[in-house]
Amino acid sequence: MARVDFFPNATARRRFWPKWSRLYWQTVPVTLLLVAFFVVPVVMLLGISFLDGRGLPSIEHYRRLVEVPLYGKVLLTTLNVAFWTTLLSVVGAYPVAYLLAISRGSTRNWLIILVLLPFWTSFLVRTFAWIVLLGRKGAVNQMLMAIGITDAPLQMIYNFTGVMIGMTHALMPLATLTLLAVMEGIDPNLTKAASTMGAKGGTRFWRIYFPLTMPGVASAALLVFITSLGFFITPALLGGPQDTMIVQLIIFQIREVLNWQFAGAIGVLLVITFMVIFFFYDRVFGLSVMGGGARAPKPAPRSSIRRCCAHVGKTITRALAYVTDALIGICSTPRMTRKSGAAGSRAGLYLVCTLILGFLALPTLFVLPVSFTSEAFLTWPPTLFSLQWYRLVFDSPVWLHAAARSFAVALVTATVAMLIALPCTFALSRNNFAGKSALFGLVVAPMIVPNIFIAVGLFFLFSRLGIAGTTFGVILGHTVIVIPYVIVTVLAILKGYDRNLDHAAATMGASGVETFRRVTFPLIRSGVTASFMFAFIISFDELTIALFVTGGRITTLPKLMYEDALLSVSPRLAAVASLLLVLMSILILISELTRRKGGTRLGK
Amino acid sequence: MQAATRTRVTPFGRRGFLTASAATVLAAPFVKTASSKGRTLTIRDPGGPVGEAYKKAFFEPFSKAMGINVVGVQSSHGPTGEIKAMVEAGNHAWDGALLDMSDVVVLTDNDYLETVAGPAGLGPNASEIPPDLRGDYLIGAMGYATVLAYRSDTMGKKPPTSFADFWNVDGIPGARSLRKHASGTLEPALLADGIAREDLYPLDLDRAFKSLDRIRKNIPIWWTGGAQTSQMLRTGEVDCLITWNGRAQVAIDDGAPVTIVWKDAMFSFAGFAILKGGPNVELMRDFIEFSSAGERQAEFVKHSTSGPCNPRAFDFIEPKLADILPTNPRYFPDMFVMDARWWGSNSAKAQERFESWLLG
Repeated sequence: MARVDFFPNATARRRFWPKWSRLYWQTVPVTLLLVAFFVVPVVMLLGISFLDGRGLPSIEHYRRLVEVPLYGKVLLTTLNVAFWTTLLSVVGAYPVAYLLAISRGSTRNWLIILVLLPFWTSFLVRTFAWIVLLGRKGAVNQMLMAIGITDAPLQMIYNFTGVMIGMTHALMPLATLTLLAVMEGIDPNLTKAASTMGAKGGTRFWRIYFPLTMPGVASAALLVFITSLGFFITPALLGGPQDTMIVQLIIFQIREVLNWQFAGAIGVLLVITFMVIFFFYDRVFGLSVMGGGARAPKPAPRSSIRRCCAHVGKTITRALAYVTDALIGICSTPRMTRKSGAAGSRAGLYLVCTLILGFLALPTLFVLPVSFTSEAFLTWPPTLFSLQWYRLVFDSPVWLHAAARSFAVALVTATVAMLIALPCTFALSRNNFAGKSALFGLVVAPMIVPNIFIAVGLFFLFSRLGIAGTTFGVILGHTVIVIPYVIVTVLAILKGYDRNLDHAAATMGASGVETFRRVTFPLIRSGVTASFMFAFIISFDELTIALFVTGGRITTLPKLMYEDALLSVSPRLAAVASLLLVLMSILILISELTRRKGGTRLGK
Repeated sequence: MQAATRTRVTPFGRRGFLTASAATVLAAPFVKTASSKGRTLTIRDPGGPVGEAYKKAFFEPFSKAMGINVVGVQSSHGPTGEIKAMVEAGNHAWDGALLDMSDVVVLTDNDYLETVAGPAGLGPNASEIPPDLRGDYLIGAMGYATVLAYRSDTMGKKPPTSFADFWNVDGIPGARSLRKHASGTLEPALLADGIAREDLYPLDLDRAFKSLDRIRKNIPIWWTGGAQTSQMLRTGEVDCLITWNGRAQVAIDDGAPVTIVWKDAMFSFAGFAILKGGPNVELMRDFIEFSSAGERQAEFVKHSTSGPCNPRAFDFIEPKLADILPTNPRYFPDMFVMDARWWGSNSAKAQERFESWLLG
């Protein structure tokens, strides 16, 4: 790979500046923000786990963690749930992301809206939708028994299957968007080239396309895995007695018995476990050394683990390629032309994607009609038709204010996060400097530490600063938790970005800013848009931070929905979810339309 | 004291405090913190579907009676973490909070609350409340019962009338559900095993789990949120379960054929408590005395299904509404009051054992 250092020439005008100055403004804002509003409060909170009841240093809480088998068992359950959720989400998201990457125009817009559907249906409404649909007397069981496929109701929820349905449904959109961002950057000519060299379908996919999407797979898996570690409401509602997640135990200690020291100890256990997993994950996929592929002075595969895995990976993909090719060979008759074979695989893709998108859309298809019910409960089939639930929402200033606040908070959070995280991502991806891995560790840490600790720590800190219960406080808290998502998504894009393009622009006389505006940014735009959308969505849907940091003085939409749902899940929530759905879909359509007018598209 | 006298002298109509309500709602955004204005009382309530009831029954009338501002702030259940943080940081964003009796035990163990009785002792309203429904740090305002509720359409022929029947899965068939929490589950387990109400506490954990062992295989669903139980009763997902009376009532109100069994139900109460070291402790004491009046509690009940703790409240409640309230003198003698003190010191241990038991 060309390791040409054209870049300094491009910034020749600013050469007299010390070289670190650019790095400095790229990384310092993020670092300051995270140290002040993440490291300090969380370390304070986790630190007390090393004290006993009288405030003296002690390891009694850790002894309890080891001696009571419950905590180890629940940790294993949590990891198991997170692992399967990750696997199912990524495998399910892959074909959908691929379909999105090859679709254009309005098809693509509608697909995006379908994929994002679960996000706008508050997680509580979704979970209750699953309960009503899949329960013993639920819609699906009634249908199956009416057709005569089954005699007795199938047990689809209140067990591990239920947990998987709920969690995969919640997290597949996240995986899809991350994968899509990377897939859009892949040059379709590469597979075409392979094809002209005689590679069959299986080989083309497994040995060319799939390895190119690996950064996307790796970061999607990471995001889903970590996010699912923090889930607890969905598993509690859809799972069986054994599906307890570790965060549930932490929350019990924090809220019900006020033993923050022991809660801190469980938190430390979770963080350490995750760091161990992350260490090996990083060795295999090399996330923290994500340099712009062309420029990394030290090629990433330095560790023996990574080399070994690369070897294993190659062998597996080679075998898969062989098997797939063989299968295609068996299935297609000799008379079949190449074209019809392609049409066949296209049909297969459509079929799979329809099934997956149907799964994603199912709760929404349930929520929309139910919001017009005249009953006081979510039931299927709903008794139509009444606008009472919409009237309740529109008549209530509390709901409208909360919605406006959530919207504003999410918008400001996403903007601020982009402004300070994007430069840092460039620094992480393109420069080598002392403390780079420490910085990477810092920026992904808010994802690893359960939100409840950030929330409680921040509430403690904000109470002292006098900003608890302000919108500003909520924005700060949300900015802290979305930064890792922004950075991980954009890093995945930059990893596949060919810096020679920048260099080429530079040799043609483009200034640094001009290169960024006219070459770099258009190329990474889809990734940047995706990460902005993540940041917006995560903030918009965020509950834990809002619950604590607001101190009850102000309210956000998820908080209001949660409080409403604690005692009654009424069709009013379905009405709110439907309104959100329509509003967000319109917003996405508008943004896609303006984007298309904006000019060139990637991957063309 | 003064507040109490005034309530009696000037009872005001509903319209009066509806107007006041509008004023308070409008004023709310401009009020900064409790400490910034001396004459503002900030009180936490759990919000949710009955959130308005706290305003109408307590906050607005008190505001009008005293000529001060009362701001209600909402936070969801178990606000003990917030209170701990506020008292330790010395930033009293709240002066008082509506708390469950079990929250109060946890908080007083850590010395985060102020006693309700000032130097002059308890006021006349608070003294009307039976001694088992009040403590040094909390005067019961409203309460709920953990009851057995069943679908009368599927179980009506041979209905369960006690927890022993709930445990008798062979004799009385039907799908069952229990709460995935030690509190409110261990007591029924012991009652089903033949322990008398008076002898429940301290709970015999070994015996309780042995009793749970008998029914474990027959509980397909362990519920975690109250809303879930209303939903399950409404759709008939299960035939009987143990839940809070208010949650079962919601399903009944929507037309579900559900019956509540009041016998042996467990009563727990909530009330207003005072944060330690805040600037408005005396004012909060006045507020608590004010809200202990039977008439105030009766007003609250009109908007919810909680039972009033002041027996005189029933003088102001229509008989039809009284029928569904747990503290109704017809049902209340057959219930027992949860021992918050026992739970306060044993809840961590009991819950740990319960979670371990669930994992098998």
